[in-house]
Amino acid sequence: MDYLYILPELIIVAVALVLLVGAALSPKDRQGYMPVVATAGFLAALVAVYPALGQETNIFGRMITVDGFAQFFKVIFLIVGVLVTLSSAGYMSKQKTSGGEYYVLLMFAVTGMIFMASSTDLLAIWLGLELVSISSYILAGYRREDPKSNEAAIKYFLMGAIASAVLLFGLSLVYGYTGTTNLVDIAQIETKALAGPAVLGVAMFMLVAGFGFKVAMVPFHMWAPDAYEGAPTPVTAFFSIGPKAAGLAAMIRIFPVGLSALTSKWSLLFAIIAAVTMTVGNLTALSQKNIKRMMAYSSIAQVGYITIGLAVATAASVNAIMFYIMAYVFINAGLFSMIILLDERGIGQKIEDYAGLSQRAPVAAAAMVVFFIALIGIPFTSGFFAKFFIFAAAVQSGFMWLAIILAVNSAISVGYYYGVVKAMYLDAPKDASPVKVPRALGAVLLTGALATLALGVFSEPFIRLIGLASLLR
Amino acid sequence: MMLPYAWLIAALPLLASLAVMFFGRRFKNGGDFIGIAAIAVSFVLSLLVFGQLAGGAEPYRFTFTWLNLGGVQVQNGIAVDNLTAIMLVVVTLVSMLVQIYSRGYMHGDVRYTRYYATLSFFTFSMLTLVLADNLLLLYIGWELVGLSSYLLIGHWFENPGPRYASMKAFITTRIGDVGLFIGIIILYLTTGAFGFPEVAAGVAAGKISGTLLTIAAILVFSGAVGKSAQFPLHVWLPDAMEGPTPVSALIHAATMVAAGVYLVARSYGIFAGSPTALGVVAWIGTITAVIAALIATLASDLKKVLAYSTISQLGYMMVGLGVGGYTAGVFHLTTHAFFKALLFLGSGSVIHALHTQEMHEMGGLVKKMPVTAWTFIIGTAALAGIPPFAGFWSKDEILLSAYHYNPIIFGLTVFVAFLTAYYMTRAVILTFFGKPRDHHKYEHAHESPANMTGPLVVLAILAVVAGFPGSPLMGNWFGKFIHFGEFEAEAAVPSVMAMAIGAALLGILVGYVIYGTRLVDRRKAIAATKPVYTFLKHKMYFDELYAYTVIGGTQVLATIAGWVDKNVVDGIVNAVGWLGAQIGNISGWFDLTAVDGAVNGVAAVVSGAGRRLRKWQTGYVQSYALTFFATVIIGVIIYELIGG
Amino acid sequence: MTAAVSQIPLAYVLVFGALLFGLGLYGALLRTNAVRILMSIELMLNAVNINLVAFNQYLSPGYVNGQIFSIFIITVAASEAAVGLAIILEVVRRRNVIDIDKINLLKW
Repeated sequence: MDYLYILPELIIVAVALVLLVGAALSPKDRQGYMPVVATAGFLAALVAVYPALGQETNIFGRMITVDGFAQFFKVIFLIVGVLVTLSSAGYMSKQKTSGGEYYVLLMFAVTGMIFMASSTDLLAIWLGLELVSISSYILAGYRREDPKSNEAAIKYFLMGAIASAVLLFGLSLVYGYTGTTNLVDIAQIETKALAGPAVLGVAMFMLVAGFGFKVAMVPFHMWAPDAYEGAPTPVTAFFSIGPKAAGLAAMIRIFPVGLSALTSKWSLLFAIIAAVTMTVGNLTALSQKNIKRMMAYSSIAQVGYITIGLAVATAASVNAIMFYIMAYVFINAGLFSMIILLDERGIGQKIEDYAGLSQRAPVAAAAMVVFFIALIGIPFTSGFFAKFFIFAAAVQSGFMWLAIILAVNSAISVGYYYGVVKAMYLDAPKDASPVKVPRALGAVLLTGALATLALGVFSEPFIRLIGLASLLR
Repeated sequence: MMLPYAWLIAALPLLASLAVMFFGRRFKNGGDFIGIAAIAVSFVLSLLVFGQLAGGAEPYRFTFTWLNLGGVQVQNGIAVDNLTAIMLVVVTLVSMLVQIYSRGYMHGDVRYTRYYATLSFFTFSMLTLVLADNLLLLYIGWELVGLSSYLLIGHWFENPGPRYASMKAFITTRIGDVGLFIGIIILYLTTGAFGFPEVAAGVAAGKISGTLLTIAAILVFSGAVGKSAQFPLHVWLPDAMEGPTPVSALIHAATMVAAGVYLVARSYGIFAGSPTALGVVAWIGTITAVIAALIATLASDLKKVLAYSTISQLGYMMVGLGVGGYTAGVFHLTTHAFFKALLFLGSGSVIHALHTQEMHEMGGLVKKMPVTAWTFIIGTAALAGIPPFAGFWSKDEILLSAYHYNPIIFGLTVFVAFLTAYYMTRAVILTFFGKPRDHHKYEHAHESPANMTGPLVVLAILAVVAGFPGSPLMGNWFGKFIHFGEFEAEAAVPSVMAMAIGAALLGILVGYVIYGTRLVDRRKAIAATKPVYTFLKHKMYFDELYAYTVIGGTQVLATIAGWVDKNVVDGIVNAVGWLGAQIGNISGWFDLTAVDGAVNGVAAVVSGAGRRLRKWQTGYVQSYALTFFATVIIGVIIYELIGG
Repeated sequence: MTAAVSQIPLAYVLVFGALLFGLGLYGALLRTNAVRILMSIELMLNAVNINLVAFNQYLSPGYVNGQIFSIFIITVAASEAAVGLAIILEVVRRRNVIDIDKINLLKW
């Protein structure tokens, strides 16, 4: 039965539908059960992944594939779901708007992400993308009474819709030239047959732009800082990890695998995008005062590092991307749990609001330092191996110049992360009262920190796991 | 055989650290005895290891596959050879004495338990660094000692001084660490290994050579520059004196700061391939030694005198390694660890009694604190290089190597020997002799308890005898035990030895004349040398220079970024905007001609263009969309032109 | 394949699609009214539909992949428009503006 293979997705959708009805029936102040149910749904889905592990097959007329790569990302996305739900509970319960639909939309978005990573058909990938996007537009504008949230939503929506149209135009051209939307079939068309027509160049650019928009590669990134700043903070946390990871997974399926015959064409393109993205992200982040906006540019820079992996497009580099995403999810989820907390408590979103946090919440401040260290890429955190694998893959394939730009950018990034650390540890707080970390946020913070350290020290089993899940051999 | 159990030496302090951290508070003394017991066992084990190797046992090495990255295997492991054994003994011995001493010094501290846990953790980190058989594990230890150092300098973090100093130390050393890390990566990429013997073999086999090797070696050295407080990254060490004094003795005199010297010694196989890199090591060492010694002559804070002295002596060790005196450098590291720990602990004893670090508030303490005073004087004699104390033998060897290498370096190192004797004489006279300058403090002064003076006496004995193994009196035993390549005894040059002794005695004499007698009016001397005095008194303005350049540099960077933002990014946006406006113009012109006629067409187009032009400023979603499309279109055009 | 279709070369249809796309693009970039932009985007999507259907009909008439794709696009476009209109409505309610060039609280 094909449906057994998508049991996790079915569970999430079912729980989401139940919550949708629940949100309509129960009053706002009685919705405390919603995050609990949502978390339970994600966890049940995680369990449901287990039976399919290790299998390789195609289902639904080769629209969806079951392989290690898909399972890997399925697990990552479900973990993202759990972490974001836990981080959101406190924040959403304080909003005027009913929290119910929030979890529903989150679950729909996660479902879309899973389909993006497990489809080998351009149509299904696009449908997954739209499911993520449409849910994200609403999530970005979830604080309806907040003009900034409105603005984030409308900007994200307009840009997203245009990007989607461009992507579709590219897809239609690919379909026109190959006569199929199935990536496996496209991959089997001979190099010469694909390499000829100039229109494929146009199609390729449109695909890169469409997906580049979703994962915020420069110069398709301009929506991201605005949307990140305006969106409710838990949604920002989600944006910075979920859709990005899904977009990258889909890009791995499309470029190094599906369009491998055209590698020479898009490799340099991704290399240039990677260089520009890293540099613009880091340089702009230097001058930010709002931590959400800073993290937006930071995550743009991180995508730049990952894009090196796409440019290199070897087995090693694709594995490196997978490791990077795994590491990055925990880092950002943990980091954002604190940003959410400070925002929720009304302490603020500015970097100066973090002054003296080391005295107000010592454990949390220390954990944040761990995350910053990991984002910079200092050893014995997951971030180090993430960067190291990308770096090594680039050097092995002769992309020395990209590796050097990565190293330089990594050094630049110390500048803005240090700004926050300095505020937390050296500046005196305006108000020295302790900040108590609620249990759910504490759990996310601790999970993130432990995973970051564990991946940084005992990375071997995870590397082996990724080796099993790898798409390229 | 003891060697396969060498890992226990590092593991015990780690266990002790965890035990103290979690259970320490349940005990009356905050669990300090756990740490002391563990380090005592480690010390005994180290002695056994040392004994076996001295008895001719083969060096031991244990490796395992740490990472398996699809064909590429990264090995990790530990190695115990002669150099390791010496370091193990030094580190465990000084750690043990410092832990015992701290029972007295830190008695009643608010975070007593945390202090002991961190101290044990530091010892574990340092031992890991020493036991590592590869650059990667060494780097782990390297970062962990940095972390412990940060925690211990900032032990009294309620005060802004320690908080700032701990940050400064952490950041400054990190600058060097970045270089070290890049160096490690370069060596790995070229030789394919992290292990010291493999990397050295790769260098010897010519897998990396020429300029790249020099760059890699200098990058590795930059890590040592940070950790060992060498010029120009030396500024953190004097500030680190904000930490508790036993910490200064252990971390900032005997062990962690020597890690840089150890790193160079350990990776000597890399440096040996590049005379240029060794030259850099030698010259940086010389410059550091001279600068720090000059500043030390005018410091008024007892601990700062010792801090600058440490920097200067570390420079000496670097000179030793740089000029090819491998044995001499390591030997000086060993003897220095003992007598400098002694001096620091002695100063701690004084500070404990007087609650001040200013030498101008001391004086005449020899009567009140005889044990502290006399052990301090022994340490001074050793540091000044008076025969037969430990420092004489090791310093003499460095001078000898420098003598064969370069006359300028030799001359400068002799000059530093003179300065060293001078500033230490000054410190001793100001602290222990003459009349008390602060009677209130003097009245309350008392000799420290036995758990503080005990370690002083042990270290004083070592400061006397530790030099003999390296002296001709014992047939250069140390040189036979620790050497790079084939052992060859260097013939002693009597004139060098005479110069070393002469410089030391002259320094003591000058110091005595200025501070011990009334022959020189110090005020007049200061007035006469005003510019030099101010220059040295302000520590050669290094902090000011860095503050200025770092802040200035940040501003320049910000200006550049702003310029790029304004001119390049805006320029692109504006150009794109202009393009869009032109399209708009044309279409607008059609609109107007069709609908309204061409009456006020031109005016409308211009104002319309202006209105549209403004839109391409950031914040407007359509300017984002335009950038998006412009990129696709320009990209496609370039792509097709290049001939995709 | 009907006679009428076979007489029109594929290139004409594709050029028509491209022009439609360009028209939509023009509107999306230069109109300031949010609803008009939304309509322009719909034009772009319809251009894609024309492409897909044309490719399907001319190149692989035996299959229906392209047509199914376009049906999906029509469906998704409808839901996208619904969400988009809701967001625009919310903005208009809060701020009483519909011109997106007046919406720039978030910048730099």
